[in-house]
Amino acid sequence: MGADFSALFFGQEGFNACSNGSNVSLQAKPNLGDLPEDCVALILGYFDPPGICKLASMNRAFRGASWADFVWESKLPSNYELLLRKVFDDVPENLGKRQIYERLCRANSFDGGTKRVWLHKRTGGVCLSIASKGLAITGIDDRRYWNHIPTEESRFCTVAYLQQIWWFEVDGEVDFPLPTGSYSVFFKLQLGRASKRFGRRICNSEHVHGWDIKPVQFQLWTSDGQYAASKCFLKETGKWNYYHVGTFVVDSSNASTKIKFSMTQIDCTHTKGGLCLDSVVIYPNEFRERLTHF
Amino acid sequence: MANGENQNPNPNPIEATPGAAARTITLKTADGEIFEVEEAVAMEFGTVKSFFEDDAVSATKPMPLPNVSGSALSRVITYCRRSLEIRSMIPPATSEDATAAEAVQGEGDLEAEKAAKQERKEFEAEFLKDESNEDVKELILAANYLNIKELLDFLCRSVALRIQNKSVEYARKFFGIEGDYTPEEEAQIRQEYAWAFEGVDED
Repeated sequence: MGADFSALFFGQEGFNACSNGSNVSLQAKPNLGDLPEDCVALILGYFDPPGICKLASMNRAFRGASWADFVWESKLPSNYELLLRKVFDDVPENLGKRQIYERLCRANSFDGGTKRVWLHKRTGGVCLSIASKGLAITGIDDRRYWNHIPTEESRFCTVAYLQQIWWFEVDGEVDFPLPTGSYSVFFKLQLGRASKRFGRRICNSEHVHGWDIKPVQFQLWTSDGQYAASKCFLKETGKWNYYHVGTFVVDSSNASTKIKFSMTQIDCTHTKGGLCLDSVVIYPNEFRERLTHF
Repeated sequence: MANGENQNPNPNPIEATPGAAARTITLKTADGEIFEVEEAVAMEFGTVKSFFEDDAVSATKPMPLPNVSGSALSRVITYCRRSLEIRSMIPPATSEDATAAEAVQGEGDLEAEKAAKQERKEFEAEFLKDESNEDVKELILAANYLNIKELLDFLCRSVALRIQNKSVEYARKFFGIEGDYTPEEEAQIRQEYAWAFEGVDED
């Protein structure tokens, strides 16, 4: 039998990390591993979902505890039932809260496949993405200006590519029951058109022009009267960037929030082009730092 | 002798019936130790509270606690007593004495809350400083059995903090767990949880 495992709870890092050769049930002294499942579940509740799942493989008690409904209920957004109804035509019954969380973490489509919604795994925050095909792009039907091109770089498998245009305008809207919180809207854009040649990613920037003359204007409006706007020059050919439109606040999870957004550059003294438009994304505001480059 | 000493001469003694001497409740642990505890402290224990609410039994017969040892109960009582003291540092929202200085009271409350928070932080850090894992486990089981939410939350939170951001191997050693899964079962479980780690969160 291995040495008595009696580490100090707080204090030194270097506890006796000897592996106990004997079976748990033969040990003379009980240890934290013998805690009943409901106590383990309480401990697990302090971890984020990936943390809970990681610890679930420790032993049967941890695995059992990792399924506890009350643990996952606290991770789900408060209006998860509304979310389920929006995303699934037939909401499956008798799902445990853990399964509900897992389902909602997938990028579920709605509005005819032009939009996706998912929970951020670690935080449970709701994220939305509106495909280029779900946006109202001025001139999209004219192949001299815009084309939809297939690409594996988009979660929608296709992006809108602008060759050149005078009047640049992209509008969109989404109506979704977002949980209470504050959110940021971004346009996901790239200057230049990427492709793969001999396994390497190359970027064709032959059409990129006009973005350094005047800035682009971004705006958002919510149905409850919030408004935000920003202006910037598009930069960095060959790289996908998230351009921040603004932030808005949802203060009641019981209603649906309607958000409109737009991106314009309508100074008709110059043309602009060579732009890939992937999507518009809406993320909980806490991710803004990581996404904004400007 | 059971510990019945209140070391802090609290100017605002916690009394169930103002004016009368504090009632005590007698508890008897699994190993036969007898504890006389102030009623206010004992009522922090959910199991004790419901026991005495169910029938208006007088506190003459000691209440048996077959799942709790003397050493654990002693620590639990220390915690609850101190916790009550700290909570009484914050004046209640609706003051019963309508004093003239009520306008000042608001600001004073914030200060008192801050001070209480600090006291609690220091007290909690000190409380678990020299506890071994076995002791902590005993405390968790006792707090669970006695139904003391605040203590249970504190203990579980502390354990979680101890293994946060550490590997599963570390956690296993810390808890003293022998994995009871075969490698095949473990692979299956990891499959079950793969969803939590796969996919791109633009993060």
